[in-house]
Amino acid sequence: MKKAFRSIDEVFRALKKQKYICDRRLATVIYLASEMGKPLLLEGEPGVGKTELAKALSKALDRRLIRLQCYEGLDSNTAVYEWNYTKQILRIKLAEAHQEGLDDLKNIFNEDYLIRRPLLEAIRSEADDKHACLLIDELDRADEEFEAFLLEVLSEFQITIPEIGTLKAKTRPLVVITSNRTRELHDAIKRRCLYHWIHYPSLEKEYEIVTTKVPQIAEGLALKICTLMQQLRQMDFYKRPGVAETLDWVHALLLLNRDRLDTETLEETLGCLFKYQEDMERIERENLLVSWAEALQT
Amino acid sequence: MMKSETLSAHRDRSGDFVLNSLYFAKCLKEKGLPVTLGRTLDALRGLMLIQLEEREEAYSLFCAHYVSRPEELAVFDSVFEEFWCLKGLHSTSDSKNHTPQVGMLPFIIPGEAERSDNHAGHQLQKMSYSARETLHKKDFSDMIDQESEDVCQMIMALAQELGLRLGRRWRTRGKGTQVDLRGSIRASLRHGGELLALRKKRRQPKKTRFVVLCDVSGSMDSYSRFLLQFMYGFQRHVPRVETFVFSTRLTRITPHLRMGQIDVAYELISEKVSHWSGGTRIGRSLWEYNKRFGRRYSGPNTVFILLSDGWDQGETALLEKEMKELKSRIKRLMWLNPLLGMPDYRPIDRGMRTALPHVEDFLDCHNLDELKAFGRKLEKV
Repeated sequence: MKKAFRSIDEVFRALKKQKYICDRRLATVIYLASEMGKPLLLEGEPGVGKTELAKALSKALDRRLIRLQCYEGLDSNTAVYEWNYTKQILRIKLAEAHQEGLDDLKNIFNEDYLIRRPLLEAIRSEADDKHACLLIDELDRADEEFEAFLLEVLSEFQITIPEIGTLKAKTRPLVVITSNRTRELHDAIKRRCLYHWIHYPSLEKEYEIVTTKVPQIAEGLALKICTLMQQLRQMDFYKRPGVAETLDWVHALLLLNRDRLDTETLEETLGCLFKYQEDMERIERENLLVSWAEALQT
Repeated sequence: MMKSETLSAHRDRSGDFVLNSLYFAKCLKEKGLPVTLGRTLDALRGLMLIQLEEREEAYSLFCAHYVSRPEELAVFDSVFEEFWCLKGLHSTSDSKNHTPQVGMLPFIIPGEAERSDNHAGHQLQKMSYSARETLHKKDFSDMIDQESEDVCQMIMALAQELGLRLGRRWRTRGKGTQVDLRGSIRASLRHGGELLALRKKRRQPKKTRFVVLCDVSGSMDSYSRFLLQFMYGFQRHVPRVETFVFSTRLTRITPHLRMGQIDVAYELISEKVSHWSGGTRIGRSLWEYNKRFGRRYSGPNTVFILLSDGWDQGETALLEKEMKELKSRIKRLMWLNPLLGMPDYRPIDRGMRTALPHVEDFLDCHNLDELKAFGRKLEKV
């Protein structure tokens, strides 16, 4: 199999080409994950770029991104595979019409009658001669039982279907799992993964992200924005703004053609940064906008 | 075999590095990180893939293998710093900081991690039947040291049992509302593919979540040791539990209770909780809960458990308001009060009187038997 990345530096460069700025630690973990064939478990505050990383990786490697968005009640029928019942019933009716015996019906449980859901798709994707990158997004939203399904997939890269047998991947897809920690994942899952906690970026890194993603922005403004964001994250809000919010905000400022961060501009675009009434109320109560604007002038 | 293979493969390239990595793993384990042989072997294999002289790469490699939750990052960072940066080569005899430091916590809870299960059984057997019987009825606040160790172990056993029974609760499935196509087709095969009867299925009911708020103010001191032990066991064995402690302020301790070794858990908690043995402001603490955590943890399937003696120094109006708000968002509110065990106790102090109308179950928790009764009640919720 063609190697995904030849070195850690290459991970670095390839991701940068996709406009994803990562640090050396993250690049190392990605390299290890692809070399050791282990899934990568990413945790971090919302909006630090966990999902984004999977997207960038798939583009950098020119692999198809197979995404499994987890939610409460997600079951194996929607995540792994399902039988194509309509096709099966038609087959049964056809058999009836031709007076076929029971033995001929046995074969309605083979791969032709199978609907592939994301996990099975990822395991069988090498057939299309294009390797896959599997993103299991927000695993903490799924029920605990679902994690048990994942164990076999993540450690052996195989799926057992009672009616058929075990289907195994010839080449391991690159797997990225993200979690927002609304609950703790099971240890058994964690043991099979390489863990990485994505911190909020440093000022330098965030500046680089902003200028890479939105090159139209004036450098002075970008620096001011990032400085303010660093300050905001030191404060105790219900939901602190992440990098995703920074980028939204930058886009909004560009659209509105604002090049100064005064109180008025801040007020108009506050919705990009804070999404909860409690935070808004606090900002109003403590008159934070004015003090931020003043701090930015100096 | 695997091990020697990996080791020899590294010896050519890095000499002492492999050995040091093993010592490093040992240090992490002593600090309570989930170090296993499998993880260590994987980490050693990973050494081949990085440049050993690059600090960040080595950090990443070990961190990815030995850390699995953000609370462990700080521990890892400090061990990593000490081991690889200051020490250079490491000698095994270094085990100075081995005894856990207990700062704010006014007690040390017996090392749950150190005792194996056999040992626990042994301890229990050692006690005579009547001694155990007495322990069951004895007020937590009257316990002497030796007794309290035994009781802590019994509390852990109780929590484990409770976890098992709560886990089994949702097995029954009645008639469904939706057609189960997969089951129907499967069943039809028996009759040569004729769909004789449709199988039905229904969604599993939403699982119950638990939120525990424990009072650790001064007036609860003689009970908090045991209640905390109970919370540790409860959280460990029952799924979907969130735990908070409060006195004048509120602190979420769920992630800390999850640490594998109880000593480490308490060390972390004592660092985090600065209001231990303070006064009590239940209203304010509930307000803090509702505001900061309510959206995430309160829900129609949440059972809320408050452990407190109800001595409230805060405003009654606030308590009233927050109780109302809390009640509107959850399924059931249970209040455990250790003072209920006293024969002449009446819930007439201000706080208790305000809160009581909103409470569905007002239970005692001053000894083991009462905790057990609480467990039985919980099953029926």
